[in-house]
Amino acid sequence: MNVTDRKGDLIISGGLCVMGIFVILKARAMPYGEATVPGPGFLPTILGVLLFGISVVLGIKALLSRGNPARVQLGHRSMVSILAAMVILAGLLERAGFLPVMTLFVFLSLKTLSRLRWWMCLLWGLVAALVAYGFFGLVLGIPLPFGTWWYS
Amino acid sequence: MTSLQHLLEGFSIVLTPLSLLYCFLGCLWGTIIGVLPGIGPLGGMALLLPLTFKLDPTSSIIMLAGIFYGAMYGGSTTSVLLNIPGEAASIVTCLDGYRMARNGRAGPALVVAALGSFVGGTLSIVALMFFAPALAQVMLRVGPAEEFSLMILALLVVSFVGSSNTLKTIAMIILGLLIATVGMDPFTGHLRFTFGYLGFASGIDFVPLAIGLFGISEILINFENIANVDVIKPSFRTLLPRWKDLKDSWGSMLRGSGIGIVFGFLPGASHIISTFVSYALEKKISKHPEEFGKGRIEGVAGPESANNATTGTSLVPMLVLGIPPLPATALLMSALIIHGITPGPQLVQDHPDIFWGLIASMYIGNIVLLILNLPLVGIFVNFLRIPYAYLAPSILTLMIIGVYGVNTNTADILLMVLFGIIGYILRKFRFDMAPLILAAVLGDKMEMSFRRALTISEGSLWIFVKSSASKIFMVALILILVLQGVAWFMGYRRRMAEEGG
Repeated sequence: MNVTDRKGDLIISGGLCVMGIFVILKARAMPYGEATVPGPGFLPTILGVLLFGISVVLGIKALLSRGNPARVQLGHRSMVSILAAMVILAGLLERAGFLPVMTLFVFLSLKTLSRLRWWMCLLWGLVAALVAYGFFGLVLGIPLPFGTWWYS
Repeated sequence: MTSLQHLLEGFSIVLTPLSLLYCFLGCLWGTIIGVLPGIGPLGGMALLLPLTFKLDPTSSIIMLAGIFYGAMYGGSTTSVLLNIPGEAASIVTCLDGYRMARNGRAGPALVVAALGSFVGGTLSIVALMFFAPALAQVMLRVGPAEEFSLMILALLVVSFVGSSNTLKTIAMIILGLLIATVGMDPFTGHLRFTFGYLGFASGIDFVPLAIGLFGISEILINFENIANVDVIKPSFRTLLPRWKDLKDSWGSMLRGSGIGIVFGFLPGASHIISTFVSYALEKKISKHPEEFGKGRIEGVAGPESANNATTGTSLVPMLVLGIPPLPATALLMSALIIHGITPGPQLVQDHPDIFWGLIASMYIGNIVLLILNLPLVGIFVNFLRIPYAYLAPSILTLMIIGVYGVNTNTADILLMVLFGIIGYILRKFRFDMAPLILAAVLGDKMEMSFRRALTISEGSLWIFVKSSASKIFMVALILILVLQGVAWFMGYRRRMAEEGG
């Protein structure tokens, strides 16, 4: 996806604007407190208002500027695949265990980014997972999950 | 006891086999991290943070600090050999360092970069040794109102000094402060912005936030340019610089060190800003300014000294004030807090072993890094021969393990991915991440100081200008705003003149 600088600034300032409004509404539901004892809603309200204000100014500035005509490339296929793989990894890590999930993740990443044959990607995935488990799990003692699926 | 006596005590703590080993491991890991583009010192420190849970506080801070300044050393290697900065503060080194390498002088460029880093690092440790205890004594007398004023000043300095777009920086600061409000309100226990998820009750963890915004976004950006790059590999014989190189660069090293020491105290991107300031100064005073950008050794010596000089003094605000000026120092602070030690003016008094042990370890670490970076450059360069398509999955694996290892919570991995996507989009449109991280780290403390001050003053805002310290901070604040206004007006007038002419 290609987007101009100006359009990107407009979209981001729009997003920040919406966030500011959301924060103000949520903060209003919290106790505001008094001047002598500010409550939990005090600072979020101020920040929400400031965020809204700054994003409006940013948006107006983007609207009025001619902006950089060069287009900014946003995202590409391999990025989406890798990010999806990380989300799936997070979901499966404690269920399937570190070794199988990390093997699969490295396999998918290599398959997406490189030109290695599938069995080479799988082999490197296994090696990477084993080395990582050995160093971080056994040597450094980081508790890497075994996987709840394998408990009988 | 004098500072020198304290320092000797610090050496007695560090000169044990185990402490030396941790110092060496930290420096080695930091150098490797600095060489590999995409991780940065923050990512490298986060990866080993879980390991530090098993160590005593002194050993863990020694190792993490080693990674921090090791990465500063290592970042220059890729700048010179690949024209890719291994770390953000090494961007300027690319300008002349890579040109020197292309002209067949990679060796002198690398040696001078390492020597400059050594000089800058050593001088900044001396500054840390003398400034920090004195500042701690002063800060013991300040209260919550002064603390709040100081933090506001820090955020405004970030907004107006060295920021290419003030409005975008302010937006990021506000976003960071909002992120800091997530979780349980420290005074009332009210849950804020947790959306019913109890995992957010203690707030958003620093590690997934920082790794996502910096590390994941960097890798996503690098995906767009995955290609094999020519690696210049100098032999050991060609590493040695000429006597003229050393003569031309020693002045730059001292000037760069001075700039770095001063900038190290400032919050924000001080390590990056100091390198640009140093480069600009060297070019300004050079007899051959037209040769800058074509391989001038002063263009490498000055910025590298400035870069490493900020590491020492950047620890002063973190250790003594509890205000981390850099994202990496924020992680150091997290490590201390995890061990039950709160950085602040009491640190030097209550935990002198940690403070002086850290300083002593930095002296030793500087020597270790000089030894590592010179003869072992060939080995480090081999990491760069690995195509990024294979390196990226490894780096991502390390990041996932590092983030998961802190709380053993898979939700942190999802948070890291989310912040990675946010960081990627914001960075593509030139929103800076450093102010966001700084604000996210300071947010809690700022709110507590503000609310405490108002409680003490029974709601009166005059408390923020009553004491001498507050008056000084407020005057500095107003001065920055006035100077920024003047600079904007001068820029506006120049633009009008250009358009009219």
